[in-house]
Amino acid sequence: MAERVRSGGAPVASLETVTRRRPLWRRLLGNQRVVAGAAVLLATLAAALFAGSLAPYDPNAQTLADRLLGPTAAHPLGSDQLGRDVLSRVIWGTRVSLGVGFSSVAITIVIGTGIGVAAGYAGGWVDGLLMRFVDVFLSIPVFMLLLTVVAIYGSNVNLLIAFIGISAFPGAARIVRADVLSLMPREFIAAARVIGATPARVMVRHLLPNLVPIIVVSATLRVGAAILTEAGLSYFGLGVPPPAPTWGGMVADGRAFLDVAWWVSTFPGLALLVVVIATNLVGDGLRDVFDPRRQHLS
Amino acid sequence: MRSMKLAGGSDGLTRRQLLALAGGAAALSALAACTPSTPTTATAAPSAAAASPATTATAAPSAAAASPAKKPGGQAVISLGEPDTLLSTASRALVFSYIRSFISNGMVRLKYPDMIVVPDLADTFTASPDGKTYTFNLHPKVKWQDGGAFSSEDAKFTLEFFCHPQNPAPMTTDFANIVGAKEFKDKLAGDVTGIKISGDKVEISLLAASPTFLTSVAVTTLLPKHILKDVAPADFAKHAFARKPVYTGPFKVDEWKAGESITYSAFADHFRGRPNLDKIVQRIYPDPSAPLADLRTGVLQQGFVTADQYAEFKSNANFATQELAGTLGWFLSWDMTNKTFPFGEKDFRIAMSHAVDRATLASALFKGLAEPSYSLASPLSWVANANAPKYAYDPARSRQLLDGLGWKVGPDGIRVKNGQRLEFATVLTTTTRDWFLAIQPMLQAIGVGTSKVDVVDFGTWVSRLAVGKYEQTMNGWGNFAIDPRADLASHFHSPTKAARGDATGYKNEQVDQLFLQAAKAATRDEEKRLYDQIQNIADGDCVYGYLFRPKVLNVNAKNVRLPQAKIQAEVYDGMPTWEVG
Amino acid sequence: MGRYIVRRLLQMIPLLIGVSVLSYAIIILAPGDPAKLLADPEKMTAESYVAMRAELGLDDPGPVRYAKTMSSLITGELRSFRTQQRVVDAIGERLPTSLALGALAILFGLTLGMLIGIVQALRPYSRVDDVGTMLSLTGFSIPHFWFALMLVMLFSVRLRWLPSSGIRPIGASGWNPLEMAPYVVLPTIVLGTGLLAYVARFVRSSMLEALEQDYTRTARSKGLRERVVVVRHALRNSLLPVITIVGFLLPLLIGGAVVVEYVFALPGMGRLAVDAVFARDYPVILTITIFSAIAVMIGNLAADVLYGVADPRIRYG
Repeated sequence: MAERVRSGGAPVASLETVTRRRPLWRRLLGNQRVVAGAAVLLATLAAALFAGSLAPYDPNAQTLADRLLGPTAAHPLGSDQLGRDVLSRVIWGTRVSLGVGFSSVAITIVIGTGIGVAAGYAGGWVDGLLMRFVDVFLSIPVFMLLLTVVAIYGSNVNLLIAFIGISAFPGAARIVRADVLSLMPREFIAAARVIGATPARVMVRHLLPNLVPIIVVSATLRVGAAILTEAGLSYFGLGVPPPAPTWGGMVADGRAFLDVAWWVSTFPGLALLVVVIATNLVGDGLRDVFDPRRQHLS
Repeated sequence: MRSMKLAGGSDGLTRRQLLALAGGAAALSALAACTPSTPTTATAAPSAAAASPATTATAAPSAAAASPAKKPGGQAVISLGEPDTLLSTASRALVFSYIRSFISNGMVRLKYPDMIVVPDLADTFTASPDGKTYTFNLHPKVKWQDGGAFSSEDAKFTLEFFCHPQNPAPMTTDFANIVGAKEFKDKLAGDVTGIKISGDKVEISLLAASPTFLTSVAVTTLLPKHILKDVAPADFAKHAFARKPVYTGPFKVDEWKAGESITYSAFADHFRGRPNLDKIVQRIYPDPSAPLADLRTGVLQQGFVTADQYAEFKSNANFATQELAGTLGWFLSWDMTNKTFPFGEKDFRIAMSHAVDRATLASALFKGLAEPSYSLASPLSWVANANAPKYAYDPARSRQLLDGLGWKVGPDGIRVKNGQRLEFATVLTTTTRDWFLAIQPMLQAIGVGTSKVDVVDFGTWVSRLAVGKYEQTMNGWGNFAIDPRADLASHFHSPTKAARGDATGYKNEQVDQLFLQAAKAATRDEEKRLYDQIQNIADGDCVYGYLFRPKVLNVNAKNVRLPQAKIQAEVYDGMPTWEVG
Repeated sequence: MGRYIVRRLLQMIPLLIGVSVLSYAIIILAPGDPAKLLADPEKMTAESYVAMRAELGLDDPGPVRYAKTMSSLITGELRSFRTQQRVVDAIGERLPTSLALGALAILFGLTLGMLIGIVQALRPYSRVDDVGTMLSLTGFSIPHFWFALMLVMLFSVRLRWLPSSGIRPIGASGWNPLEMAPYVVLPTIVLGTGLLAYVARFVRSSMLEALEQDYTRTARSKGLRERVVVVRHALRNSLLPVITIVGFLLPLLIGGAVVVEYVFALPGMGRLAVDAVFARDYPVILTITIFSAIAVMIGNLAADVLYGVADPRIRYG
């Protein structure tokens, strides 16, 4: 149990009726959470891909005469402190949020899986050393560390993605390692070793395919956290730099205008909330679908 | 850079936050050389001559008389950032220069806003005809806030601190100019022989006459010898004094609650009379949205707001408002040593300045509450040269100049020369980001591409503000924190710049020469003429693309009466005359 | 048990060395120059700059700086670059606020979270359960900084029911709960909401699990009333472990405190950390990081130990 919560992800799955027999896609479509979350995510993805045609204005076009206008037909979500259209900026902001969210999680997963598989497979001192390394990372408050690192080393998009991705690897590494440990005693691993498969082959051909469900679930649940992290850094002025509009940055922009222009902070934050809820819904649902009994946390 | 220091020193975000608190731009600089306070401002001002040798300045009689205490008592809650320390010799924060003005004194002080030297702890001061000996006659009834007796011993103790062999910081030129300072520093003498004291009199002899002696040495905030005499000079900042100091000013520090507030109370035995208020509480806010709500609900009695928020308070009968002059000037700065882009070309810089529509920026970004800026010196200070060249909005002229330099408009509107596009990167902080985004289209209009922006935190920005580390940036400089002559030297005198880290690479032999002449000027008039010439050349060279000075917008509760002020520093300097009723 | 705790405490030492080396490496490799940021540009000369770098120890080789810094950190003599205050003193001034806030957030998150989780578990797959699920989902998806701003906008700016910043009224000092109550409401809600979400989910699923267990069935079959079954058996067995998850959620609380203390202008450690980051005040950053790491490790240890107490089947080897 301790292990589960520590990995910091989301909650224990509920014991829902097992529907193992049906094919995967049927089970996925049958899961309300996956469907609801995925619908929102797909819509967001579409907004990101077609931002150019969906957004009514250029997100960076300033009309200084139209600063801080409330929601109207012309600007459904109002305008900001430089007279830019908030709706257009929210739409374009999906790119940063999804982009940073998914790419940083990809990094998390690659590093986490690598370390987790290596530690679990090798065992012994290698495992001990790698896990102590993971423990070191786990005991540092991640957001503070990121704030320091990004402030010091600057915030270009690629670095930012790398930093956020790296900062989350310990949780992923632990989960993967635990799964590898549970797979190691299984017969097919022993069989592969007996017929002389190299360790690399065992890891890639035999272990990895069996890790896919847990990796997918864990990755999905981490996307939301990564999006929130980027937004938090943007709030402190350290996120993705302009001209790309970012939701966290927009919320921060609105701080000084809470009284005169509530819409500047409110809508991007709402968008953030909805997208993160959606990723968590999908993650929860996937976990139920893949492995309802196991109750793994992220 | 200095201006940015204000906020940055303590906290990068501060930058943004303080600006918001301080009315969008009230930021001055890290260091005020000198801002002691007495309520006598109005009467104590002699003429500009006070600062020049061979003259005598006499303080107006009593301070208490100047502001007949109508309603003593009461408390004012104000909003100011958190200082790094309350020790005058160690603080690098702008906010401390404000605080200093109501808790401490020097022998003389600078009067706002023209920055002329006037008496403070010294009732009178005189300079010998050769300008090499100054005599200060200290006020006889000065007391330390802990009740300790004040004497000329304290003055000698404080000035010797700056020359002390155990002080890790090297002596500045003006201290080294005191007779015997070098010997003391080199441990060849037990004291600085050029500082002689007897009774209430302090006499200081210099190796050579210096027009900056008063503004860099005599203004020094005096420290109590009876508290610090046994502390090693290197350890002053570590002593409890740094967080609960004892000075001679009208308010004393009661308590500093870290991250929360600093409380001051009236010092009844202040030598110029007791201040009106009983108490000042300075609240410390990290986030710009916080003080605003407290100002509106009456928790705060005074604060500074942004132009967007100002209208609401101005039209509300519960508040009184004051528009103070912009003391922080913003400008575009370029690395003139850059080989790829024509930043070193005077005509290029002039073209950039001509491209900026300052009136539109002022009305769009500051609701008209900003002044266009064309120079580094504040128009309010005595050094300002009103007739120096100004490159106002004239995009046609910009295009002409760029064409003349051989940068021709390319197919996408960006100028090109020898295959090189006129498109470069700009380093910004969160404060300057929005402002620059508003300028971008104006530069685009003359064919200069500036869409590459790099927004960094304050600390990173400071380290990149050096030749070779950036292409273009937006910088701010606060006037009135130090002697206005030093403002100019910091940006135009190449040896001074080289010592402090040069951001532009600007070097003009003639300007350097003029600074040397000004340092030896015999009269203030001659000095002024030389500084006028310096500005004629430097402003003509368009060292920076000067933009605007946002006004500082003061809001206070109706029941608080503030002194009439032209600049923000005066609001704090005049703290003893505040009334709550 | 005692031996187990001692062993775990000893294991913390190499981990802490790892934490300190890692944080130190991040800082020492930084491109910025703290001397330049700290130096007063007016007084700065080439010599004073060199003196400042020497004073800050910036010119020593990396390992020497590390050793010097760590030894002064251990003796408590490490001082802030910016204020020259002892870092331990600076932390001491801020710690009570952070602890109080953390305790309130835990109290809030635990009570409300357990309540929601229990209600959900009693009516699984009902409308009530769905609402609870949605609530906890929102709880850990909501961005702290935005949630805080929205609460300020509503309760401070519009309704004016609660103050938007500070920890106590102007002029007050000390820890008078009555005076401070209005000031801590919003920060507690923001900081406690994430915790609430985790607790609610945890309680729901462990209650459901407990209700399925043999001992519950036995109790039921003995003819005990449903309420007795729930309270005596299922509740007791599923709530004890909840306490332990608080230990594991400490990093979440520390991270949240950084944002919450900043937005609400609370004089706590999180804000000290943010200020230090932006001022490149490395001694403060380093100390707070190590300090937080110790808190997290002790939290984990306490959770493991409490878990053992709650579930006697666990043995410590």
